[in-house]
Amino acid sequence: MIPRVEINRLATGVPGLDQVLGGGLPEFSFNLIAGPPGSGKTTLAHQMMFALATAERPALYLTVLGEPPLKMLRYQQQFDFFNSELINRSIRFVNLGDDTLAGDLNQVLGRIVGEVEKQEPGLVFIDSFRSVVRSRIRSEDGTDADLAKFIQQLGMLMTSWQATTFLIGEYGSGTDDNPVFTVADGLIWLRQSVQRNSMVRKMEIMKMRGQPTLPGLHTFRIGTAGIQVFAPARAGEAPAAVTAASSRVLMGVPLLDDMLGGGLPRGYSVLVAGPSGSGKSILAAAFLTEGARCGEFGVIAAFEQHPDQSRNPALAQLIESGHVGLVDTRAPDLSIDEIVLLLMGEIHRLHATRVVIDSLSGFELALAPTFRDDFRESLARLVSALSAAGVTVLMTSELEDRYTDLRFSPYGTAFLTDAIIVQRYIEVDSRLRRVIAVVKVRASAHSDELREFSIDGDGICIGATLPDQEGLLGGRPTRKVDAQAHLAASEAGR
Amino acid sequence: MFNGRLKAGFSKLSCTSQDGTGGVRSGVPRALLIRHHMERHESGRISATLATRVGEDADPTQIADAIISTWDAVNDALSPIIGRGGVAALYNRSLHLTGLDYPWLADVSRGAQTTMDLVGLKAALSRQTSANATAGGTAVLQTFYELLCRLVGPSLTDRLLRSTWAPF
Repeated sequence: MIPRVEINRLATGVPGLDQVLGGGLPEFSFNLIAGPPGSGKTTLAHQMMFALATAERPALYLTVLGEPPLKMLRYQQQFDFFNSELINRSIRFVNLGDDTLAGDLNQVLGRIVGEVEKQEPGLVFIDSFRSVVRSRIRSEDGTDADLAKFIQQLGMLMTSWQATTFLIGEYGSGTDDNPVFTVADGLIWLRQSVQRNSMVRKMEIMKMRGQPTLPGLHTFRIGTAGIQVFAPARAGEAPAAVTAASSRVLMGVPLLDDMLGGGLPRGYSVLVAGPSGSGKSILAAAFLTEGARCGEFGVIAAFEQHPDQSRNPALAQLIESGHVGLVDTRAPDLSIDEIVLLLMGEIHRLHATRVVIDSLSGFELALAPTFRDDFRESLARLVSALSAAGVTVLMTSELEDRYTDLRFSPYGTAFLTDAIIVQRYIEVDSRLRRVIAVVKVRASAHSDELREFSIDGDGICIGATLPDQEGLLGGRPTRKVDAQAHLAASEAGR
Repeated sequence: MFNGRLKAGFSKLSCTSQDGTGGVRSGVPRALLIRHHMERHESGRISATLATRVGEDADPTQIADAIISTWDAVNDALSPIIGRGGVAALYNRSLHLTGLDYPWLADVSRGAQTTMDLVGLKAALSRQTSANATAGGTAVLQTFYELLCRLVGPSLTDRLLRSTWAPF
């Protein structure tokens, strides 16, 4: 068998990017980093450069026109990845502005060749490439033959020099008829997607020769550590080792475990649906508290009340003692991928087996508007990512009390979860009372009772059924009249 | 005399300066304040570098030569990174700021803003006494260094200018 050439994949040093690229950046590739101004191109280039530049693989960063090099150095220093020790050692900055202003592409190419021959770099960056192209003096017949030739020669040159190359440019869209899109091996497109009042950063690998990349738009953030890409959770990862403990998980509310048929099966996802104030968050807190009591760790993503407050001292204490991890959900314009990443991070850190998302309604509001349209799909991804991790998930969902139809989830996502618990208000004797029922538990017997419950200082207390009432789910139950006694009374009345 | 100018500069800077017509006055007071706020810890190194290039009892021409060759070294180190225009802009700004303390330097930078006129500087230095030439020449280099520090920080500035401080 003829051995294939092995394409070495470089670790870019940008969290999440290697995964999106399909394992890393192919060595010796000729890449274009494109996007509108402010989308993060120079930052991405610098972050990769500082991660990849070594003595054996030095980097040459050619600045052209646009951001003055001193300013670029000033701003990029603000990121943690910037290491001034490397400058003039494995990283060299060279300015081509003077040659570019002359407008002769041959001169610019000559200058690039000269610098590459002098430094023998393994990484070459040209920032910005678009300004090289724009500044050229067009030939008299107005054709782009010169430009095409320049790009071809540049591409060939970089290949023969075995340098992984990055051209940075402000290109509008990938559909321009520009020779650079054809010559380039990889096209990394950065965007700022603005919808209503929110801005979400997204990147797309439009092209990468030699390996399959993750398709679609991937959100990323720019922070003091640089760029972090939120790659979608890997599907089909082997579930975390489930402890040899019982195959059922206790909920922390005694009668509820009975109603579920002995507790919730481990690894299941349960949806707790009910109107505002019906006690869902209290149930979620009891779930985590019970876990701590059994020696299990938990994670909560709280989109409604922050657990630090005095509303739930038991839960706040668990968070403080480290038994329960809190996923910070106050960052603006969240994406599902980011939340999954944060949750998985906490789950792995604590080896948690219980997860609470309180609530799905709050979660939807916390997402950037651009993601709300795909909420159902994203929720399916979230649930499958969590179940692949082998954790037991409790999600609360606010449900308007509607007495005309029997729905358990406003998103039509009830089918996604393995179990559903519903809480409702009913009116009896001019009082607002609460009932709870287990609607479904996959592959398990469970109670079909609609039981009244109350909430006191100790939490949820499940009481008895209301056998003398009927039509409970209609909201206004009526006292059941004994059919025999009625018949007898009416007979007697005649 | 000097402190008096400084005090005047301070008081004018507490709020945007206004002249009688309600416009904002700019220029000298602010530049003065910036000039004197910069750190001076590198003047020792610059003086030492110059001292290695000229002996004691050097005449003004020799001092001028030493200073110009230091500027050549600065240009060699920086212009590949920030372009000839970038170096010239910082050089002319340094001349302008130093010219406030040494009026005979102020004439050198008049006019040219995008090129580095070392010929004019050399001529101006050669016309001074040895002491003045050393003081003025060092001051311009010092200001240049401080400007660069304010833009990209001392760590990076030291890195970029490393080759200029090395003795021949």
